[in-house]
Amino acid sequence: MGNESSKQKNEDIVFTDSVRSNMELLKQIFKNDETLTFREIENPMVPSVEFCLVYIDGMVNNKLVNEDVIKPLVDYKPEQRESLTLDILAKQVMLSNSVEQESDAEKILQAIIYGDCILMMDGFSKFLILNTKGWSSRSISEPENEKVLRGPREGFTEALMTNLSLIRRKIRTPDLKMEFESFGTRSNTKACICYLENVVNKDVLADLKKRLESFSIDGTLDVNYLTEFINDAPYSPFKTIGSTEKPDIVAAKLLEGRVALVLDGTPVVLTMPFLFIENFQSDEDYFLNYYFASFGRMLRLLAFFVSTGVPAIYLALTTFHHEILPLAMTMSISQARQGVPFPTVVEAVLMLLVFEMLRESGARMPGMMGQALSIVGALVIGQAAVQAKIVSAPMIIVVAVTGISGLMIPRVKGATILLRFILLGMASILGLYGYMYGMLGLLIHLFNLNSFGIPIMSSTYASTLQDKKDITVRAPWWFMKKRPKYLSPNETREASRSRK
Amino acid sequence: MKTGKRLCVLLLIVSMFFLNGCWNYREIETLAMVSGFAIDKGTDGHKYHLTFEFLDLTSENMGSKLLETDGDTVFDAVRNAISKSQKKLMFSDCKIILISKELASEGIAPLLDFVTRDTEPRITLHPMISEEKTAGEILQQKPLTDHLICLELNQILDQNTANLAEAPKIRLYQANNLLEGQGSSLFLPSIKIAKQKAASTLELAGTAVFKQDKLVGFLDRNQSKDLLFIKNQIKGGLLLVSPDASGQKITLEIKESKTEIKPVFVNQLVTIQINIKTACALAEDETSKSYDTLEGLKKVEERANKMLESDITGTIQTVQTKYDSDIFGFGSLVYQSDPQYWEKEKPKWGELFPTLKVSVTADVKILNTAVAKSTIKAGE
Repeated sequence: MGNESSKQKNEDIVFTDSVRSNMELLKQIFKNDETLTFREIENPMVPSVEFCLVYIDGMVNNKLVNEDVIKPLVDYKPEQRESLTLDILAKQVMLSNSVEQESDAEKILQAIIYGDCILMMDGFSKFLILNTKGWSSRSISEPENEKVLRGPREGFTEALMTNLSLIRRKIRTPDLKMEFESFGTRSNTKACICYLENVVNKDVLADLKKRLESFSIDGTLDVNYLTEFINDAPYSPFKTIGSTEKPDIVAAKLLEGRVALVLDGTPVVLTMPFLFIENFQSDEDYFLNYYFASFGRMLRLLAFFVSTGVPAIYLALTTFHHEILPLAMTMSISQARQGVPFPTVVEAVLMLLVFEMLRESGARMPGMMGQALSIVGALVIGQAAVQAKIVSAPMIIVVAVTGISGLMIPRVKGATILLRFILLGMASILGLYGYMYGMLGLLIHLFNLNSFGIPIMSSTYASTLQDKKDITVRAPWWFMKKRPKYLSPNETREASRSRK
Repeated sequence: MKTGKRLCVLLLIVSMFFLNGCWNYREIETLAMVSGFAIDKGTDGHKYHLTFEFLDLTSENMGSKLLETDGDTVFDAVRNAISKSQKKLMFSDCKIILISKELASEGIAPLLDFVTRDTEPRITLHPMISEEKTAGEILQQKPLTDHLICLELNQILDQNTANLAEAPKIRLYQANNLLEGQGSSLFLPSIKIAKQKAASTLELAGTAVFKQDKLVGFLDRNQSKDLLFIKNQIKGGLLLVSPDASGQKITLEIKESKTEIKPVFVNQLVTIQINIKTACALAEDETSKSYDTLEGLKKVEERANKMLESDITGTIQTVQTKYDSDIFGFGSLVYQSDPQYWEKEKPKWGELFPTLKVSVTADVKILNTAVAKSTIKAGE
């Protein structure tokens, strides 16, 4: 997956055993890049031998370079000139935890770019690659959009190795495998596939690796760059690959037999396969008492139907099926609608759009603007619009219920919004029949979706009690003896590593 | 083949959109919801005069307005409303149809055809008979506790069956069944305006009795209760018993009542046996004697039995002789238990019914004396 021409160029580069000429060569390669730093060093015992340290400013940890590389080199007292070889330097002098001798130009250039130091020495065409990586990154903090009241609060950061350590700390077993890959012909972004060797569904793993090899892109700044290439249903609004910012969620999914993909540079980690019910599961479900957790789960499932269906049903009832409404309700709705200039369907679309705007601006605006937004949202759009008879009060209630329940299920946000408008459109033509046809279409679509060969609705038609335990009801932990059958070939949860 | 299959699926999907019934997009505020309407004899040459009560949306408060139209058929009169109202009348929440006694005595079946046949009115609405001169004037009354007179009527009817049991509650489909049924006659609740010292109000007056589909008379509230006893429709209500000659009364509140009727065939002659089992609570005792002992209560029970038996027998006799209309459904009982006998006797049932022997036995049980142990006695 390399860019052919640049690779060709790198292969042409041949370093010599002269530090001077190598410096010239590197300066030529990194022309116009002033962050590349050359530090010439001499050992006072043998001043005739030239050393040069090459690194990119900002990518290395200066303290490490000073104390583990320059200081030992300058302090070293070789007995004779011959004992000063690259091999002795690597094994006896350098204090870095990783020291490699390398002559391949491609690898040397990659090492420089990734924050390592290169030590060149007169008389050797091989260089020492010293691990001095040290760039600043964000500290571990709680992810803003996956907050919990109880449970671990740490979240992934943008640094790959930190993220992997977070996962490793949750699952301390050599069974946890981490395979590196890299994506992006220009960005050369590192990624890591994590799975539990004895638990994972091998078909899913093989499928994932095959898909990852099937495309090429120049840069991958976020996991979504990959998701859109490898997911099963590129045109569906529903997710077939899960994503999260929390290590505890990733660890739980790995334990259930899923595969995780961690990409450098983004705090979002992919998990697959991703079933539809996972949209409604929260990590908190497993940290709280199971009665309360099950209630929350059912509430979220209900929220999906409310959020997609309420505007459509309200429209159907008030414009097609007046007889279903109790007389008192008919009375209050039609009184509220007196003098409203728009038909109900236009009113609904307008108010839903306004709500989406409010939500979107709430998500993007700087923190201190919150008060202004709530005043605009509640007073201007809510109260004033009703008083001015531009929209009816029941419609505000409908939109509010729709919006609030939509916020309960952030994982299916996009699909919910789309579905809401489709159902509204259907209901405006056919009333409740339209809503029914819409839901029918939705079901047909959902039951057609797969995630890495596993139907995403497979949890809904689970036949055994063990398969039902984590769908609408979160069963107590002592009851969850087995992993979901469709996810892992190794079903028993307590299985020791050797048991197959 | 494959395109044919696809075309077939496409056709099915498209037809799905066109084959369902609900096309009618109507904004809710463009409709005038009718809560009930009254049918009277027509004025200026028309056959019917209709008074609609519909939801008034012009004021902030919930309220109603009346609209009056004339027409030669009921539907004609309903349609004529359009020339007076910009909003289309909507009958899906119609609760009550009031029919004047004048029209009812000419035959009620033609009046019920429209509401039964049309899609909008529900078959669960309540037809009622006005004991006043016209049915329209009932709707002109001010509702006392509700915003709409028809909603109030509907509530009164519900409350009456639950707690008073002095008027029958008959829905449209039940009325149709009674009209068309073998050996049964139609009866409907009747309504009148009650004069009070304060503003007049509505009152459920009892039962309207029909022979075939023609109104022949009314039963008062006590007779209506007897009718409900026979029809096994008592769900509550009171029994007033005088246990001795003094005339002071004890009030029993009915908790539960069950009536079993069966026809008995002896020598090709049929008699009807009515067994009433009623459980009551002693709810009020105004007598000077104390009936709180077990023996005392037994005495009250016996008096209540006698009273019920004679009352119900009396009511049956009144209906048999005065109205000659089998509203009790004795004929249909005979039909159900011996269809062959019914087929034979059916043409003569009209003659048999007035002289039909009915025996009533009542069994009133007093379950408790509410929360008081004994009556209040004045100290010495």
